[in-house]
Amino acid sequence: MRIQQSHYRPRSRNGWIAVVSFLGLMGLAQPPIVHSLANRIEPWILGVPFLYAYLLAVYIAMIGVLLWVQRRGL
Amino acid sequence: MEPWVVATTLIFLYLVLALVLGLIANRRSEGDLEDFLLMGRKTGFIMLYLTVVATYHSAFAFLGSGGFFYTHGIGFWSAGTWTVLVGAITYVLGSRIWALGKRFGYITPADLMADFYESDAVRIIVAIVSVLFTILYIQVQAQGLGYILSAASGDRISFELGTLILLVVAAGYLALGGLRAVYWTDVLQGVWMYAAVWIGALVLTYKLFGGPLALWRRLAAERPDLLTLPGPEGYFGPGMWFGMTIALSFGIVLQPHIMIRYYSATSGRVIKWLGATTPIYLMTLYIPAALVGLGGALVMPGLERPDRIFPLMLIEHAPPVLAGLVLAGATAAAMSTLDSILHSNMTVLTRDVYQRYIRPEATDRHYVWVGRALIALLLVVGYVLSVRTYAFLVTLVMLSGSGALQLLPGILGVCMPGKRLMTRTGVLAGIAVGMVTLYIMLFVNPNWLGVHHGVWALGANFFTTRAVSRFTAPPSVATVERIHGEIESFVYADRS
Repeated sequence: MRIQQSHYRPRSRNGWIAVVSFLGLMGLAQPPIVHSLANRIEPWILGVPFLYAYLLAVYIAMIGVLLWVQRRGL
Repeated sequence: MEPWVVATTLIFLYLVLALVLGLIANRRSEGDLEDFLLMGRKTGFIMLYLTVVATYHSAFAFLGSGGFFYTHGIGFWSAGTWTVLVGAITYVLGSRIWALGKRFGYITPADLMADFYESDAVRIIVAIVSVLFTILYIQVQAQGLGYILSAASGDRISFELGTLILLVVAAGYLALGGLRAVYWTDVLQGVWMYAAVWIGALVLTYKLFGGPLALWRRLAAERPDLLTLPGPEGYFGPGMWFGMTIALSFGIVLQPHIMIRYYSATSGRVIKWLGATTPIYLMTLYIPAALVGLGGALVMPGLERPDRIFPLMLIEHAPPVLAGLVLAGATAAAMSTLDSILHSNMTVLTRDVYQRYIRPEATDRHYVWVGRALIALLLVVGYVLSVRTYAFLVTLVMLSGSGALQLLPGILGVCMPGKRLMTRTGVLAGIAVGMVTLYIMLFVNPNWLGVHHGVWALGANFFTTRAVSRFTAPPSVATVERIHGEIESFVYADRS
């Protein structure tokens, strides 16, 4: 089968949504954001230090994207 | 009954159970090489899920991670980035690796790369990298097992004897039952390990602090330096954070014992489900590890070996039966990775070296016995490496991951068709430059500018691979159409 275009570029709208959202969330868990805006103990989130809770939320969101991708059959 | 008696007895009962599973697997074996090495490519989702997570999380999950939280604080929660990224890599790359393995009969990482790049030199180099850097992993796991057994027995079983016993058991059930024995024990180990870490951590946290929320408050009051970046010793700066994300995701997925799991799946759909769901297990296992490490820094400060914080806290503070069950879980964690690495090294040496270059025309039965002999050899090598050097566990894992990471450009060239082709000369040059850079950034100018050594090495590798590929001959049109065409069909024509 002939290669139509690079496999590094998504070919569907859902593909773009998946890639952009996953990488965007990963960016929220990387420097500089994690070492600046997120790098604090307060405010406490449900009794848990801010940095820890923030990262947990980002990780859960990233897993959510993966599950969405699988359900869409991408 | 004394705690050490309970703990040691439970661990030995677990070892007996593992050997029994190996015997049963041997009886169920079909005797051919593909069955011994890949369980006949028939692994369904649940078994594959548990073997992947059990293999990924090792002695590191019980020892190294607790030690890292203890020493460097909340920065090790960066583990979530690489464990979730592993899921995405599995979904995208793992499924393609499966598809090619199914279509063209690949068994090892070298099979995949040598076929596309039409090069025996690529096969040999990939085999060397595959074995060399995972032998370091054998050392890590074997040392972890030695620590666990000596801690569980109150030092009545020496580190050296503990390492030897557990290495012999792992090699034993692998030699008996091949990958089937590894997978069956991994199913048990995957469940036990997860339950053990969570239960052990929660029992300790409630007993010592009154619960996780109280622990966080006490940390904020007494050790706020453990709750922010870069941590007390400045380890988790931006360069290390990002570098560990890359090195401990791609670097571990590209190791042969993980790639072999992709090959063994029954369908591409199973691999995609794996990618979407394994991060749930992998990431959440670090939640109790954080409680143990950070809590340990409060109640047992100044440890010479922070890696031992979890077993030490269990022996001192947990009921003996619980301590024994959790330490048996720790043993399971280390053995689930150890047996996989022994298996993958045996597979690479049997398939890529012996079958390819020494006796190409022998029977499957002959190769299976050669594999068993290689397991014995690897056991000896692993034991010698374990008892002669002592190193910080997490650092060893990073070295191991960064080595296999150098295969990434070559594998992307196979699995991700793009506008430009990588060439065999480019891939070989890239690996060579990557290895030299890795050495420099580890031993000459460690983590220069605060950037993880693996990132430097990978960057140099990519640059070299692409630059050299521009001026050297690509694979033949027929090979590119065959392999990239298969990828195109698999991904966009829904043949999974």
